[in-house]
Amino acid sequence: MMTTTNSSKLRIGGMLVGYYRLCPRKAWLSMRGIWMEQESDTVALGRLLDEHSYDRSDKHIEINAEAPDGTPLVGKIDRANLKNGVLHETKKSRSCEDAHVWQVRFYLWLLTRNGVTRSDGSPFRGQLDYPLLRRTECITLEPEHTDELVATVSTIRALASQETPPARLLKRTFCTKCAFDELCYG
Amino acid sequence: MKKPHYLFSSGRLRRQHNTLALERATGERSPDDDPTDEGLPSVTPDGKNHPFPVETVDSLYIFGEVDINTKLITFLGQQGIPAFFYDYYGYYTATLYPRESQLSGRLRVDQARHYLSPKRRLVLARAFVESALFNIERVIKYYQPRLSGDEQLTVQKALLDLKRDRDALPLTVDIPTLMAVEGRIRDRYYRLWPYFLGTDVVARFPFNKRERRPPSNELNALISFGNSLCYTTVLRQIYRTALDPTVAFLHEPGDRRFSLALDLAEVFKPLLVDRMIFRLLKTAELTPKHFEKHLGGCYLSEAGRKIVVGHWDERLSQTVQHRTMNKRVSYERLIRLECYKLVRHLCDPVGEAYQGFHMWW
Repeated sequence: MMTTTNSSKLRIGGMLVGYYRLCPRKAWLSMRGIWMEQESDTVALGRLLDEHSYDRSDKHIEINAEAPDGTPLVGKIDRANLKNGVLHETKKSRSCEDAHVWQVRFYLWLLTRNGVTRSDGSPFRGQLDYPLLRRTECITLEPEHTDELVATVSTIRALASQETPPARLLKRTFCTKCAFDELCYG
Repeated sequence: MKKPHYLFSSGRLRRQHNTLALERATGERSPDDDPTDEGLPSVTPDGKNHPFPVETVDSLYIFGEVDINTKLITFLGQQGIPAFFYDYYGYYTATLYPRESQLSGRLRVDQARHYLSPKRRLVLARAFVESALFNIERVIKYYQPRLSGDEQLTVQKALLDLKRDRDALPLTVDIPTLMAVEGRIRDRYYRLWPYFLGTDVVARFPFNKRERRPPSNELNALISFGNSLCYTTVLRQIYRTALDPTVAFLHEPGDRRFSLALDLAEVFKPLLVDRMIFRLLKTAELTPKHFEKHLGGCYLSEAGRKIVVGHWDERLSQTVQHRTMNKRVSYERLIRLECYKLVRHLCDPVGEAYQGFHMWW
């Protein structure tokens, strides 16, 4: 069947996980190749911020892994401090914090799937950096988070094979700032 | 803020470092249909560069005689800037359409699927005609109360006919019938124009029926030029979405033009083109001296084109309060929203069926 071949080729990335946490509809549309980011000023600002912060670190590292069910996973990590074993994710503001936290946890999960640890054998830590707010947030990956990520991967797979998009969010607090706002409600 | 740029000057347009520059030229443009033409520039560059920042350019409208080279085409492609070309007579001739940047394979397949299924295609085609007729009705209703006597009665009757045709749309079984309904209504609608324009304007600009290729008189020239502006504006918006501009539903896809832009333009012509024409003529911003007769046809002069384009640009940036989005959107943005509605329909034709744009003011 067409849908199964599609979802078996599906590669799940950290942004998609973040999207899914925010709004399954947004995740579905982006899996369809419908992107709205190219015109969003907020997104452009975020990208600039990532490019121009922390110039002395290892930046933009790509890692691949496989979920227990065989789904290929990809992560594009903003930057990492490999010596101390910390993954960093740069964000502009804390408005979608839950999604950001899960994005970092997803990257940490990729590392454990690949058996990557710090030099002393303990797992990598994650950190959310808000250069504009001069704040950081520490993220760790607990076993219950891993279980939830496994479940998320299979939900996203099911979502990908869905013929029609999930309904729009009823609570529009986030939508008005979302790049997809006009696509959903216009 | 990106805006369309309209170039009336002739000269050489080129990439200068990372921006655009126009080297203006002196002299007159020669007609494009002159058989002795050597294809060489008919104007002399003045040697002075006028750079303008590429970041502000959404698209280019080229009305003058402009030389371009591959470097410019590549640069425009990288920047995603479409360029629209007009010939000596102000006819739209071509679009330089950059490589698609917004690709969605699945959406394109869905679009083709909607075209291939007669039932699904008809649903969309009907929606385009329905909203075109609704918007025409709105324009008529705007002018109706200002008329009196016989004129008032004729308009009244036309409105009834229009309403009857619009109500009968769900019964239409194929695309040619839909096209015929639309054509009939437009004909009837154009016959009302002398009433809307008033005796003063009609004395200056006689108008009885729509004629194209070539336009037979000033009003026909104006309608043709306005429609081509509408078409390119819609195309510009489609380009910013993942929709395929060649696969259309009301018009036949792909022949000669980006047919999807023709479909969507039907919806917006009454609001954007027709009302612009009434305004320009009634305020006498355009007078007969803005038109020229060539080769049995009537065309806008360059000064006339400048007036129309200036007004068009202003009109596109006018805003209205959107009914569901709780913000003001420009007329131009309304076209983009229409593209998004179409995307929603293609993804989910039952749950989020396309309802064409209806003027709500």
